[in-house]
Amino acid sequence: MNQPNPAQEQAGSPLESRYRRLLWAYPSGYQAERGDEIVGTYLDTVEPGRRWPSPHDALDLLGAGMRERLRAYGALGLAAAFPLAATAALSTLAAVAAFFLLQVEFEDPRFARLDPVGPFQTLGAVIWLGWLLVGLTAAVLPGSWTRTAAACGLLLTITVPPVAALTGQPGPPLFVLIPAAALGLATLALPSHPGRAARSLPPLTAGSVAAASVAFSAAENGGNMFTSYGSTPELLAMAGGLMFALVLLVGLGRALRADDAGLWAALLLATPAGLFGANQLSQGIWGSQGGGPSSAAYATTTGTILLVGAALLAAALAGQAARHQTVRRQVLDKACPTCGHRSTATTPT
Amino acid sequence: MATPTPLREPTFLILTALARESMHGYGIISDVAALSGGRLALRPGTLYGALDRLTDEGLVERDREEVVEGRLRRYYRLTEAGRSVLTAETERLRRNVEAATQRLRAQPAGTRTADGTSRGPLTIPGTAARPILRPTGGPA
Repeated sequence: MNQPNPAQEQAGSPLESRYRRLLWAYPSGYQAERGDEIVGTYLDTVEPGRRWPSPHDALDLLGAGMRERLRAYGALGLAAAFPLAATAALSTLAAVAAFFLLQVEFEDPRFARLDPVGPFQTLGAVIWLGWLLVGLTAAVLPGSWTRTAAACGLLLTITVPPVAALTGQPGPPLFVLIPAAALGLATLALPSHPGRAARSLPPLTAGSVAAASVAFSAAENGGNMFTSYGSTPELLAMAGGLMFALVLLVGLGRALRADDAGLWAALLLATPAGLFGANQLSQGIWGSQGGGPSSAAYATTTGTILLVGAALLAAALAGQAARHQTVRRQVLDKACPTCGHRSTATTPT
Repeated sequence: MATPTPLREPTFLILTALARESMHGYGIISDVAALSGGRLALRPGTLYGALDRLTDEGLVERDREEVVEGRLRRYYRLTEAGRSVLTAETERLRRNVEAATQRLRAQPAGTRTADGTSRGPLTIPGTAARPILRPTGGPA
């Protein structure tokens, strides 16, 4: 990479246009000021003959553009929050997977009145085994491998229901799958270079829940408190609440050190946490039919949770942007008491 | 926002690249790759985000612009504050290296092999030629 590519090969080329199109992720003012410089540097670095930006280049540009937008809003903490939220999401998924596998999938299928899928009650066992494997991957393999594994876990989570429907096999209910898919989506932002906590938390939570499940079964002595997915909505709601409370607690602790990433992570996870309680909330609001909420009630509650989650995030971003603008204006308006000089520099974010 | 210390490796290498002379984006990318022995390949989006942050923190500033063969080149240079931060970080790393070197030299005789070479937990087969610092990607 010692010599840049000759400009004649790339200037005005389709490749340059394609790089310029990817600049949409940046704020328009930034595009106008820095676009030529950024695209020129990309053209310097690409190998001769390339016609399209590589996927890594596209992701780099999109990520950098989004960070620049958040920087303009004074909300860079949100960018730092994604890996935190992803780690919490994977840890929760690993714990939930261990619980469902031990307490539901390995239970006698007659409890749920289902035709068993091999040794399991439903095809959901494949999903939970998959997420446990992702948790194990997070502990021992590089971050990029874990992200790929998480993408496979998410794919598995959203593929199993149609496969179950097509093959006539039983699958987990939607009130389990939807929050699992929401958390799976969050895991796509797992850190590239995970620290000790990000590596140890997923296996630790899975191991703890597995141990607690085994101890509970032993203490139950043949009891049947958890026999099918239908017996778990309360516990799921508690798991979602616990996840949110723990992340909020960590966020408040970090906020004391002027780091708001943890609070943004709590806000990001508010929606999946709410989805864990959607079944209970539906029953509380609309009443139950045959032991659970009606499909329409559940769909309405889930849609409302998604809308409220998105609105909360948008409101927090708008509030942060307004606060940032106010602080910036105050700095720019403030004249030096000695010489009357006014700052023209941007405020640090 | 104050620069967090210790500096992350990409930040340290960007400041190091600018310590000798002002450079444009491609020059910094090439120099950081060379300084890290090829381990750290910064991408332009990441680099310019880091340069913006370092500019906000007063460690780096714009030097000059030129257009070469139709491409805009903007040069960046280290500020006095940037030079101070890099000097302090280099001194911190040097002290760590010296401390580690002294400890390794003072290794008890029982942990040395018959031919006099040391044999301890830091010797990992097949990794002798690898750098000890972990490669760091993402935002610099």
